[in-house]
Amino acid sequence: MKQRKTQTPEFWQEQFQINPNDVEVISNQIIDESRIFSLDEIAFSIAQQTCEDEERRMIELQDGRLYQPKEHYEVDEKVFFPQLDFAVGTVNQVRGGNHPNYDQFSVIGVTFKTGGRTREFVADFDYDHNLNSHHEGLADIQGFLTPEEVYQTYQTTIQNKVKATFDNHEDFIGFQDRYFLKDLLPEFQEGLFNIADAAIDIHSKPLTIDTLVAEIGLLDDGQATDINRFMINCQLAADARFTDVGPTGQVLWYLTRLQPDNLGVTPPWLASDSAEDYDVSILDEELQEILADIDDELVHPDDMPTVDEDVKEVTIGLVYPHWRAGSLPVTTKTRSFFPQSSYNPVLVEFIDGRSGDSFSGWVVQQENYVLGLEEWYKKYSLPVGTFITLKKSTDDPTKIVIDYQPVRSQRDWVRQTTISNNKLRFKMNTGAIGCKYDELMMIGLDNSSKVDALWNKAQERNLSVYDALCDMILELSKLSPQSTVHIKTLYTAVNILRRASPGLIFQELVNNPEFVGMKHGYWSYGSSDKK
Amino acid sequence: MSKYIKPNIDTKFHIDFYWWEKTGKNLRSHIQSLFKAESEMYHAGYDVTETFDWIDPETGEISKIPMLWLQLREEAQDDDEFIDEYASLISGVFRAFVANNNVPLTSVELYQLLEKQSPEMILQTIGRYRTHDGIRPSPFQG
Repeated sequence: MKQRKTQTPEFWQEQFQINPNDVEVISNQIIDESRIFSLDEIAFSIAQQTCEDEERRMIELQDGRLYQPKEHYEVDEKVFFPQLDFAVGTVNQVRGGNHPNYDQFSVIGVTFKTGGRTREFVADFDYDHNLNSHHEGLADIQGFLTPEEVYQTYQTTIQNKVKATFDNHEDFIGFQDRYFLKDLLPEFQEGLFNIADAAIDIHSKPLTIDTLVAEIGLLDDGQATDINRFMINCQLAADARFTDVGPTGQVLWYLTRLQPDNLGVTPPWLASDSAEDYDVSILDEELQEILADIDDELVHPDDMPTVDEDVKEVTIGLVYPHWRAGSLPVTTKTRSFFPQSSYNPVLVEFIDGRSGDSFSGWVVQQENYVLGLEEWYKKYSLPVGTFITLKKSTDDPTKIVIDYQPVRSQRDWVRQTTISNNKLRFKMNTGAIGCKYDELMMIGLDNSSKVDALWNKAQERNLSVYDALCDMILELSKLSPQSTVHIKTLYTAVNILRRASPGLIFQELVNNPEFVGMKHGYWSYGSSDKK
Repeated sequence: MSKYIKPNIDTKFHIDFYWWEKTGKNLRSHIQSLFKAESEMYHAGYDVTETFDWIDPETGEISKIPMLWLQLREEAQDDDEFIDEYASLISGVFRAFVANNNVPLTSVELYQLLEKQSPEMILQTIGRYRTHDGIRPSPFQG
């Protein structure tokens, strides 16, 4: 039997291309229905068309017509029967059918190429029958995936190719994976941009598309139409003054000038090299448990505990990279707390659990972090390792209550950085800390600007994780009578010098024999000579 | 097309009406024997010699069979005890196919309808080379 290309991943990944005929079919559908089409609808339509074209070609290749009870057949016509091992036969007679439950139908006599008796089959039978169902095609009968199943299986690949074509096609205009024909859009006057700008400015907050359509005066019989919304969205998206800050499914227009300057650039303390990955399988159970306990977005989702989406409250330990960047990680623990969009950073409102004050945060889904917490960390002098609690607001998913666990301020002995001969060193010092924190994670910073200078120097000389680890374990072990350092402390110290995922640090420790693992996550350096 | 393949637990069976024709056995008499003696439907029903074009629900193939089949099906639908627990296994299987209009069934599905013996025992009984009452593997195994 001939292989079907559409049943293979190779076809959809390598050979499938959107052709001009596909585009024309979609254009005509948009014109006929005068509505905006989603990427999903377009991609499915094209995939279905591709499968059906193939099916048509397959049937043409068969010797005869596909047998279906509802069809009419003539004497001498060749018919093939997929239910009977694709047997091919010739109609040698047609007679009227006789069944008390059905009015009129025919019975065809068929002789098969393989010989034997004439067998009879129902024809002109326009009633319920398994072979008469609307979608029953050759592919169904042969047990192949239907167009719906093909689309489900290769959806991402198909959508990506369709998106690439329609995003760049001169006849179409798109916004957030919805498309329309440019020529069918109503006209938009440039002056309306100024009205939109002023409206957002006056309200001092992002505005929904319906509010903007009303402010601009484009209501149609008091209603915002889908095409008007789409037109405004497209125009604003193309103008650098405006930015969408809404979560998926909700467009909220804001002014770019009101966004933080650094929103488009990943803070250096969070930026990671995707080539520096780790293999969790080389870590023993204890290390895997510690890894799962570090709230860093660079820990693979599979290596972290899964938190139910219905959970209303979660507590995480503030790791150094986020403490320094004034951000929070988006991990399997925190993801459900932050509304997200794959199109744009999402504006959220943090509500200070202590004071009730609110302030803006920005969820950057692509990089898995939330910006906007620098001032809040400073306000309460929260150190690295602080246990931070997030609570979902009951009425609005864009509002998140953020809090820490205050304790009566007392002076604790804590590790603190010092800079000596342009090198990062540590000492134990007393410090007043007014919150609960992870003592193993915590390192106090003595002088941020000097530490930043060390960071820059490390970047310039492309400091490796191994070299950073050697230096940090030697220095930190001086603070311990046993000359051991906990792996969480090492993670913080290395990240003061350069960004490194906890998994990568753990992997370096395990892979290099000069690092000696003790119990309960403590490590020592086994040789005075570096590798 | 009717090659013999050893049936297994997933093989679907049906009543092969052509087997009745080919072997010269009397399907009409067999169907008559399945009516209850007191059946009003039988006594007031069709001409016992009349036939109709039975349409295979899976393949569309036609079999000319006694009109009594339809009458027996009506009785089967009105009688919760049509698939008689005291009937022989072969008779029970035949009755099950009458009740469902001869839609192909596996031995496991037949066991669920008959609630007697076991799927393996049913398979051993109807899956042998020798055919009983036309019960044979269906050409349609989809």
